[in-house]
Amino acid sequence: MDLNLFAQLTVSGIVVGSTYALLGVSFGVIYATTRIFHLAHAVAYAGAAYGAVWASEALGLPFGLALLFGLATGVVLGVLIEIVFYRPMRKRNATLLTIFLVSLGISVAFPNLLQIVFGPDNKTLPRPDNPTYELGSVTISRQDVIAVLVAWALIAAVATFIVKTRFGRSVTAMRTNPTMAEAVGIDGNRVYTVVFVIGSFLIAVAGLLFTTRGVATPTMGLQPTLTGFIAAFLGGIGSQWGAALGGLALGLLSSWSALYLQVDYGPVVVFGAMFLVLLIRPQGLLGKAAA
Amino acid sequence: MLQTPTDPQTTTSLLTATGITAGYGKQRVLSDVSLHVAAGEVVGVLGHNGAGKTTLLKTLIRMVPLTSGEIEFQGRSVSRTSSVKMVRQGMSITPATTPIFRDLKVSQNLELGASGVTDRTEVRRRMDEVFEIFPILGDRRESIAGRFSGGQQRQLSLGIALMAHPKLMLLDEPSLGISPAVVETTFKIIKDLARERDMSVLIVEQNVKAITSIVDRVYVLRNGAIVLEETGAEAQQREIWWDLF
Repeated sequence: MDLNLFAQLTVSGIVVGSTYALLGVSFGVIYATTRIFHLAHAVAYAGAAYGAVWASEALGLPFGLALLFGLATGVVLGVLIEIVFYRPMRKRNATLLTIFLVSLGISVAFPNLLQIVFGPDNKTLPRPDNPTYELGSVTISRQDVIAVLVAWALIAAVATFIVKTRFGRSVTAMRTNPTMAEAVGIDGNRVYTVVFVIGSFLIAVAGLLFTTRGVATPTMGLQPTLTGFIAAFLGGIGSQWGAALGGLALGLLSSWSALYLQVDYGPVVVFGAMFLVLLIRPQGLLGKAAA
Repeated sequence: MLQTPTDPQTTTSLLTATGITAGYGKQRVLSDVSLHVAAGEVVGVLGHNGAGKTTLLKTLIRMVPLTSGEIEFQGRSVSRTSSVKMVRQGMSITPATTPIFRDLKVSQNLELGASGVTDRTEVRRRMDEVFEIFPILGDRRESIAGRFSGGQQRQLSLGIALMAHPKLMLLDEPSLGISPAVVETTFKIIKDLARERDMSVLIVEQNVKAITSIVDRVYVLRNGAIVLEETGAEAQQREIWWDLF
């Protein structure tokens, strides 16, 4: 084995896996609490990217402010989906399958809307300086370092919020026993709104991290949403660190597979690994088995 | 003819339900149910599986929507009030199954019981009150609740309800899943709490012997309708129940 290549792939895997971890926690915190398969999560990802691009191009905002505008756009869009679509459906006792179909519809319609408003061309943000650092045989860029640090800082913040704060325990209460949560007077709609804020914020950050290095396209949100879903289930629903570990594992596996296989085989390796893990531990890596 | 030993007009009624009809979607579960609970009173509702007992409690605390009828709590109509507001106004409910948060510590369970209380000192004071009533909870306050025995979980569920300082506790089959000896102790604690705190309790049960020993009055619910109301003393004298169920 080429150890230099292995080291470089490991670092690349950590960089990619950190974003996957962010996606996993963002999908997981919403799914675990609401049981909604929130495929429209893609809207917050793409919305943040296009929001930042629009703020930069149309409003002429500097890079940092454009990112903040994009972040706000992603969060607002994510929360609006909960308030405008999901909440009224829950009130009418819609099944989770029906809510999923609506979510699917939103995730299909939104890229078309973006295309109508912004056109089909790729969009880019101004590129900040991105020097690279050499660590022996391994190369890493400043943006990669920032992406890793931001991802894990946010994951730690969310995990701490859920475990250590009183409101976080209300989120756990809603996740584990919604009937009892209602019985003690926890406002379910408020909890749902907060988890949509958290989840949408995280995926919006992921969308912006991507767009600062890549391009914004109308359909850019779907693949990361699915990656988040896989990471969350691989790591264990209900566990923030589990979802993060799931995402990191996906990134590393995908990267390491390049040692022996063509790049095209990466997704096959990832899905194969997920299948094997869930076969052995249906509750995921750090998830708890049903009582 | 329905026997009515007490008249809500002549007692200080904390809760009055008049002609309530409720259910899930098009499925009607309760039909024209009227009952009342006076301040400081312990009232039982007996009935077989599927009689509508749980739905009755959930309707009273506004978890299940009313189709028709009227509910008054503390002299005010609450027919359009949400369950969250009902808890804030002093009504609590303890579900029959999984009435605790299994993944959380005892202290965290109790803290959630005081969801409407923002003052942390007050939350701790109420927690100490609960630990005085149920010392085992104090001894194991840092334990994960899901590891408790059935009886301890039931004590914790009562502790959670007490954290809200309710004026009316709704208890759904508190004897479920616990041994007869623990049932007796639990019901005695419920009776004592009601007396000491001037708190009202509405208990639904299938365990006739346990419930008739502590209630002031009892209703019998059959197929979603009240078919009998009598005093606790009368209920204790009754030898045959199954014809009513």
